[in-house]
Amino acid sequence: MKKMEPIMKKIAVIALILLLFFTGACAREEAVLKPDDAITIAVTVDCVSILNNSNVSQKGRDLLDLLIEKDLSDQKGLMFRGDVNIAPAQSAFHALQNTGLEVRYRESAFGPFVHSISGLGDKDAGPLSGWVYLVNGEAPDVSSGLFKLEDGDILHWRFTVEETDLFLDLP
Amino acid sequence: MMMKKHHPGVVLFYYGSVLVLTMATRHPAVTLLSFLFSLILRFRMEETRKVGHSLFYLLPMILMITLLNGLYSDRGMTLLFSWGPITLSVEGILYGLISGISLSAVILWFQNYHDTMESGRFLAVLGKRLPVISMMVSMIFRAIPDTLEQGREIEQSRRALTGERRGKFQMKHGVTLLTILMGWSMENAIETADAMKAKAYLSDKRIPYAGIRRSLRDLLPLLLTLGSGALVLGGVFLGGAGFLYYPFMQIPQRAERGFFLWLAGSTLLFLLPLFLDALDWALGQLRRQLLREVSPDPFVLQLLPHDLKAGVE
Repeated sequence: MKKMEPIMKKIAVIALILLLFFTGACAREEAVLKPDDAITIAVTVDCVSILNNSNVSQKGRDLLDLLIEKDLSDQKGLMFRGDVNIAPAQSAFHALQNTGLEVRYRESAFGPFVHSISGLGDKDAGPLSGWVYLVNGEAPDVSSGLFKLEDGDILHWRFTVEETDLFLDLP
Repeated sequence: MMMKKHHPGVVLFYYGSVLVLTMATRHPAVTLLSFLFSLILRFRMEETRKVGHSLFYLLPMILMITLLNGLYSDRGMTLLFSWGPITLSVEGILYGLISGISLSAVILWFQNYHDTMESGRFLAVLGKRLPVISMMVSMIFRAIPDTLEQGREIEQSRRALTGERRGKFQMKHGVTLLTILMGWSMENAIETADAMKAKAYLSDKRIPYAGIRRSLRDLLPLLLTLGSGALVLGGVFLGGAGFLYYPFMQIPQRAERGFFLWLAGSTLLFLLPLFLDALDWALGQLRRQLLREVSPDPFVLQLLPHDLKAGVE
């Protein structure tokens, strides 16, 4: 019996640490919609730059083929287009989450950082590739989680291979 | 086994290509093949017990890499389980599994290489071109087992002197051991230097210790290594080595062209030592049969080498 005690103690400590870890980890925030004051955002998600940029890596091309095959993107690289409802004080990040696409992100000191949408992630098509967003055709310089949207805004999430792809022919 | 009789340059080239291929790819088919063939070769070279001993370390390592990658990777799309930032996906787990298997395959191939080639033979290959570096490398490899052996001896002497039983590790004994080992290794360095000088290390005329000769027998493994290496490179060039783990595991469309070339090349490369063994065995059988047919007289039989004689009688 005496031998058991330290083991039990260790197990208790490990369980406590795990409990702290899990409760401390933030669960995904669900956008609770109130139908009366919800605002409507036109959202487009695309990865056209994989088709247009000549510096795209082979892996990026393979991934686009895969997305088209799995019906996550159309032939031209358009992954989502439609209107999305969000609560008034919510951000570009929430609008993206409400599209129903599989969004993976990391929390950082500057707000959430979206690193992959529908399985297409940063650095997948080249060392500088990744997701950026435009609101009404302009690229804000804060995290999407901190940029509050207003009714009627046009939100555009783009996968860019290089920085120059940002403003290329919006589909 | 067979490769032990070949020129060390050929052995070095073969194992070099195998290791580069195994380390460079994460293609599941090739990694699994590499692991399989390295394990078969291991079982042919070493007793089952010893192979089991190294597997005893390798399997938990594979398991741990699988688990860690499964927990840390969040790129896979086929989710098994998700709790806040912790996601467990099929792709992450399988990528971890293949990484672990790849690492163990590299370790097993290194063990095979070590069993095929002693350090003397390694020195003999590079001794003329890079005398200092090859000497240093082989001395470093020698230093690790030497130090372990010496440490064991010191610990045994200490226990014999104090009459202490095998018990818990104590820090102060560890420090004593380290001090003695330090002194020993310095002394050993001086002794080695003296011995090298006594054997005329600094004189210009040096000849390698092991008697090594090039022969026609080395041509076959060399050509086979080159051939299968060319097949592998051709497959890579045609895009056959492509494989996507994330977001879904899949062979991309462009890989269909070179896939079989890539697979065939790597299989041939991994198969080479076993093939040489089989060839050797078949040739031996043939030779024995021919000898049996001519049925030599007893006097000639006495002159035959031992292994041939056994087949004829």
